Amino acid sequence: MGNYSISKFGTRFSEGAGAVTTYMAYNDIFNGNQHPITYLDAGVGTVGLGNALAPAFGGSSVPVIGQIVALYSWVRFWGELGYNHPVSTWFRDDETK
Amino acid sequence: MMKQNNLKSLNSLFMYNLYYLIWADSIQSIRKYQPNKKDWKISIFFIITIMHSFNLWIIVIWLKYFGVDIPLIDLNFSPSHMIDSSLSFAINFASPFILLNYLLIFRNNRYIKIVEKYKDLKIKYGLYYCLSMLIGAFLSAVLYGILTHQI
Repeated sequence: MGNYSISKFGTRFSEGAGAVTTYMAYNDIFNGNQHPITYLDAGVGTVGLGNALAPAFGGSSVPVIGQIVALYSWVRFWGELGYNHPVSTWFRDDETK
Repeated sequence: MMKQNNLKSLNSLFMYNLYYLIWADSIQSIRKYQPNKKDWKISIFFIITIMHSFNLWIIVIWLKYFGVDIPLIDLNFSPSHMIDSSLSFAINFASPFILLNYLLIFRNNRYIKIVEKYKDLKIKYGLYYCLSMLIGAFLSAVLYGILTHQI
Protein backbone atom coordinates (compact mmCIF):
# COMPACT_ATOMS: atom_id res chain seq x y z
CA MET A 1 0.00 0.00 0.00
CA GLY A 2 1.59 3.30 -1.05
CA ASN A 3 1.57 6.59 0.78
CA TYR A 4 -1.25 7.86 -1.44
CA SER A 5 -3.51 4.95 -0.55
CA ILE A 6 -2.77 5.25 3.17
CA SER A 7 -3.54 8.98 3.11
CA LYS A 8 -6.69 8.35 1.06
CA PHE A 9 -7.81 5.70 3.52
CA GLY A 10 -7.11 8.10 6.39
CA THR A 11 -9.18 10.84 4.75
CA ARG A 12 -12.08 8.46 4.10
CA PHE A 13 -11.85 7.11 7.65
CA SER A 14 -11.95 10.57 9.23
CA GLU A 15 -14.87 11.62 6.96
CA GLY A 16 -16.74 8.44 7.83
CA ALA A 17 -15.98 8.80 11.54
CA GLY A 18 -17.33 12.37 11.52
CA ALA A 19 -20.50 11.24 9.75
CA VAL A 20 -21.09 8.21 12.01
CA THR A 21 -20.53 10.22 15.22
CA THR A 22 -22.84 13.01 14.07
CA TYR A 23 -25.50 10.58 12.86
CA MET A 24 -25.46 8.74 16.20
CA ALA A 25 -25.70 11.98 18.19
CA TYR A 26 -28.58 13.42 16.14
CA ASN A 27 -30.47 10.13 16.23
CA ASP A 28 -30.12 9.99 20.02
CA ILE A 29 -31.27 13.59 20.37
CA PHE A 30 -34.27 12.87 18.17
CA ASN A 31 -35.21 9.79 20.22
CA GLY A 32 -34.71 11.58 23.55
CA ASN A 33 -31.76 9.34 24.56
CA GLN A 34 -29.32 12.19 24.89
CA HIS A 35 -26.70 12.71 27.57
CA PRO A 36 -24.20 15.58 27.88
CA ILE A 37 -21.70 13.51 25.85
CA THR A 38 -24.23 13.34 22.98
CA TYR A 39 -23.79 17.08 22.39
CA LEU A 40 -20.03 16.63 22.47
CA ASP A 41 -20.42 13.89 19.84
CA ALA A 42 -22.56 16.22 17.73
CA GLY A 43 -20.01 19.02 18.03
CA VAL A 44 -16.99 16.85 17.27
CA GLY A 45 -18.74 15.18 14.34
CA THR A 46 -19.89 18.51 12.92
CA VAL A 47 -16.38 19.94 13.13
CA GLY A 48 -15.04 16.79 11.46
CA LEU A 49 -17.55 17.03 8.62
CA GLY A 50 -16.84 20.73 8.14
CA ASN A 51 -13.15 19.95 7.99
CA ALA A 52 -13.71 17.15 5.48
CA LEU A 53 -15.85 19.22 3.10
CA ALA A 54 -13.74 22.41 3.19
CA PRO A 55 -11.35 21.45 0.33
CA ALA A 56 -14.29 20.84 -2.02
CA PHE A 57 -15.33 24.50 -1.68
CA GLY A 58 -11.95 26.18 -1.85
CA GLY A 59 -11.07 25.99 1.83
CA SER A 60 -8.29 23.94 3.35
CA SER A 61 -8.75 21.10 5.78
CA VAL A 62 -6.60 20.83 8.87
CA PRO A 63 -5.20 17.26 8.99
CA VAL A 64 -4.94 17.30 12.80
CA ILE A 65 -8.69 17.94 13.13
CA GLY A 66 -9.47 14.95 10.90
CA GLN A 67 -7.14 12.78 12.97
CA ILE A 68 -8.63 13.96 16.27
CA VAL A 69 -12.17 13.30 15.04
CA ALA A 70 -11.22 9.84 13.79
CA LEU A 71 -9.47 9.04 17.09
CA TYR A 72 -12.39 10.39 19.13
CA SER A 73 -14.88 8.24 17.19
CA TRP A 74 -12.67 5.17 17.50
CA VAL A 75 -12.26 5.60 21.27
CA ARG A 76 -15.95 6.41 21.65
CA PHE A 77 -16.94 3.28 19.71
CA TRP A 78 -14.82 0.89 21.79
CA GLY A 79 -15.48 2.76 25.04
CA GLU A 80 -19.23 2.57 24.58
CA LEU A 81 -19.03 -1.08 23.53
CA GLY A 82 -16.84 -1.92 26.52
CA TYR A 83 -19.14 -0.03 28.91
CA ASN A 84 -22.29 -1.78 27.71
CA HIS A 85 -20.70 -5.20 27.20
CA PRO A 86 -17.75 -5.56 29.59
CA VAL A 87 -15.31 -8.41 28.92
CA SER A 88 -16.32 -10.07 32.20
CA THR A 89 -19.79 -10.71 30.77
CA TRP A 90 -18.72 -12.15 27.43
CA PHE A 91 -18.86 -15.80 28.47
CA ARG A 92 -22.02 -15.57 30.55
CA ASP A 93 -25.45 -16.46 29.26
CA ASP A 94 -27.08 -13.53 31.02
CA GLU A 95 -25.15 -10.25 30.87
CA THR A 96 -27.18 -8.70 33.67
CA LYS A 97 -25.76 -11.13 36.27
CA MET B 1 -39.65 50.52 -11.77
CA MET B 2 -38.42 49.17 -8.43
CA LYS B 3 -41.52 47.02 -8.10
CA GLN B 4 -40.90 45.61 -11.58
CA ASN B 5 -37.30 44.77 -10.66
CA ASN B 6 -38.42 43.03 -7.49
CA LEU B 7 -40.97 41.01 -9.42
CA LYS B 8 -38.34 40.12 -11.99
CA SER B 9 -35.86 38.89 -9.36
CA LEU B 10 -38.61 36.94 -7.58
CA ASN B 11 -39.60 35.39 -10.88
CA SER B 12 -36.04 34.37 -11.67
CA LEU B 13 -35.70 32.80 -8.21
CA PHE B 14 -38.62 30.52 -8.92
CA MET B 15 -37.40 29.78 -12.42
CA TYR B 16 -34.17 28.34 -11.05
CA ASN B 17 -34.43 25.15 -9.14
CA LEU B 18 -32.55 25.55 -5.88
CA TYR B 19 -31.83 21.85 -5.68
CA TYR B 20 -30.05 21.88 -9.03
CA LEU B 21 -28.33 25.18 -8.23
CA ILE B 22 -26.76 23.61 -5.13
CA TRP B 23 -25.65 20.58 -7.09
CA ALA B 24 -24.30 22.58 -10.03
CA ASP B 25 -22.29 24.88 -7.77
CA SER B 26 -20.98 21.99 -5.66
CA ILE B 27 -19.83 20.04 -8.71
CA GLN B 28 -18.21 23.13 -10.24
CA SER B 29 -16.46 23.88 -6.94
CA ILE B 30 -15.00 20.43 -6.43
CA ARG B 31 -13.84 20.27 -10.08
CA LYS B 32 -12.28 23.73 -9.73
CA TYR B 33 -10.56 23.35 -6.37
CA GLN B 34 -9.66 19.66 -6.56
CA PRO B 35 -9.02 19.09 -10.28
CA ASN B 36 -6.82 16.03 -9.71
CA LYS B 37 -9.30 14.25 -7.48
CA LYS B 38 -10.33 11.07 -9.28
CA ASP B 39 -13.17 10.10 -6.95
CA TRP B 40 -14.81 13.54 -6.91
CA LYS B 41 -18.23 12.09 -7.74
CA ILE B 42 -18.27 9.91 -4.60
CA SER B 43 -16.94 12.78 -2.49
CA ILE B 44 -19.53 15.33 -3.57
CA PHE B 45 -22.30 12.71 -3.45
CA PHE B 46 -21.26 11.88 0.13
CA ILE B 47 -21.10 15.55 1.19
CA ILE B 48 -24.38 16.74 -0.32
CA THR B 49 -26.31 13.62 0.74
CA ILE B 50 -25.21 14.18 4.36
CA MET B 51 -26.29 17.83 4.12
CA HIS B 52 -29.68 16.81 2.74
CA SER B 53 -30.10 14.33 5.59
CA PHE B 54 -29.35 17.12 8.09
CA ASN B 55 -31.89 19.29 6.31
CA LEU B 56 -34.59 16.63 6.68
CA TRP B 57 -33.57 16.01 10.30
CA ILE B 58 -33.98 19.73 11.13
CA ILE B 59 -37.49 19.74 9.63
CA VAL B 60 -38.53 16.51 11.36
CA ILE B 61 -37.16 17.46 14.81
CA TRP B 62 -39.03 20.80 14.77
CA LEU B 63 -42.19 19.05 13.59
CA LYS B 64 -41.76 16.70 16.56
CA TYR B 65 -41.32 19.68 18.88
CA PHE B 66 -44.59 21.16 17.63
CA GLY B 67 -46.44 17.88 18.21
CA VAL B 68 -46.26 16.21 14.79
CA ASP B 69 -44.78 12.82 15.62
CA ILE B 70 -43.39 10.95 12.65
CA PRO B 71 -42.73 7.23 13.24
CA LEU B 72 -39.18 6.32 12.31
CA ILE B 73 -37.17 3.13 12.17
CA ASP B 74 -35.08 2.43 15.27
CA LEU B 75 -32.63 -0.42 14.74
CA ASN B 76 -31.40 -2.57 17.59
CA PHE B 77 -29.53 -5.52 16.19
CA SER B 78 -25.85 -5.04 16.99
CA PRO B 79 -24.03 -4.94 20.35
CA SER B 80 -22.84 -1.41 19.53
CA HIS B 81 -25.23 1.45 20.15
CA MET B 82 -23.11 3.60 17.82
CA ILE B 83 -23.72 1.26 14.85
CA ASP B 84 -27.46 0.89 15.59
CA SER B 85 -28.04 4.58 16.08
CA SER B 86 -26.02 5.84 13.11
CA LEU B 87 -27.56 3.22 10.81
CA SER B 88 -31.04 4.21 12.01
CA PHE B 89 -30.26 7.82 11.13
CA ALA B 90 -28.85 6.81 7.75
CA ILE B 91 -31.95 4.74 6.90
CA ASN B 92 -34.44 7.35 8.11
CA PHE B 93 -32.84 10.53 6.86
CA ALA B 94 -30.11 9.76 4.31
CA SER B 95 -31.46 6.82 2.31
CA PRO B 96 -34.22 8.80 0.52
CA PHE B 97 -31.59 11.25 -0.69
CA ILE B 98 -29.12 8.55 -1.71
CA LEU B 99 -31.76 7.33 -4.14
CA LEU B 100 -33.00 10.78 -5.17
CA ASN B 101 -29.53 12.24 -5.72
CA TYR B 102 -28.41 9.26 -7.70
CA LEU B 103 -31.49 9.26 -9.94
CA LEU B 104 -31.65 13.04 -10.45
CA ILE B 105 -27.95 13.87 -10.68
CA PHE B 106 -25.62 10.98 -11.47
CA ARG B 107 -27.74 8.49 -13.40
CA ASN B 108 -26.93 8.65 -17.12
CA ASN B 109 -24.44 11.48 -16.30
CA ARG B 110 -27.25 14.01 -15.89
CA TYR B 111 -24.87 16.24 -13.93
CA ILE B 112 -23.17 17.25 -17.21
CA LYS B 113 -26.40 18.88 -18.46
CA ILE B 114 -27.10 20.44 -15.05
CA VAL B 115 -23.64 21.98 -14.82
CA GLU B 116 -23.96 23.24 -18.39
CA LYS B 117 -27.35 24.82 -17.65
CA TYR B 118 -26.18 26.58 -14.47
CA LYS B 119 -22.62 27.41 -15.41
CA ASP B 120 -22.52 31.14 -14.65
CA LEU B 121 -23.34 31.17 -10.97
CA LYS B 122 -22.50 34.29 -8.98
CA ILE B 123 -23.46 32.90 -5.57
CA LYS B 124 -21.75 29.96 -3.87
CA TYR B 125 -24.94 27.99 -3.30
CA GLY B 126 -23.16 24.76 -2.39
CA LEU B 127 -20.91 26.30 0.24
CA TYR B 128 -23.71 28.34 1.82
CA TYR B 129 -26.01 25.32 1.85
CA CYS B 130 -23.41 23.10 3.53
CA LEU B 131 -22.51 25.72 6.13
CA SER B 132 -26.13 26.51 6.91
CA MET B 133 -26.98 22.81 7.32
CA LEU B 134 -23.97 22.06 9.56
CA ILE B 135 -24.57 25.07 11.79
CA GLY B 136 -28.37 24.80 11.58
CA ALA B 137 -28.42 21.14 12.62
CA PHE B 138 -26.11 21.73 15.57
CA LEU B 139 -28.02 24.81 16.74
CA SER B 140 -31.32 22.96 16.32
CA ALA B 141 -29.98 20.08 18.44
CA VAL B 142 -28.89 22.42 21.23
CA LEU B 143 -32.05 24.55 21.07
CA TYR B 144 -34.28 21.47 21.03
CA GLY B 145 -32.43 20.14 24.08
CA ILE B 146 -32.91 23.42 25.93
CA LEU B 147 -36.58 23.78 25.00
CA THR B 148 -37.40 20.21 26.00
CA HIS B 149 -35.44 20.60 29.28
CA GLN B 150 -32.99 17.86 28.38
CA ILE B 151 -29.88 20.00 28.74
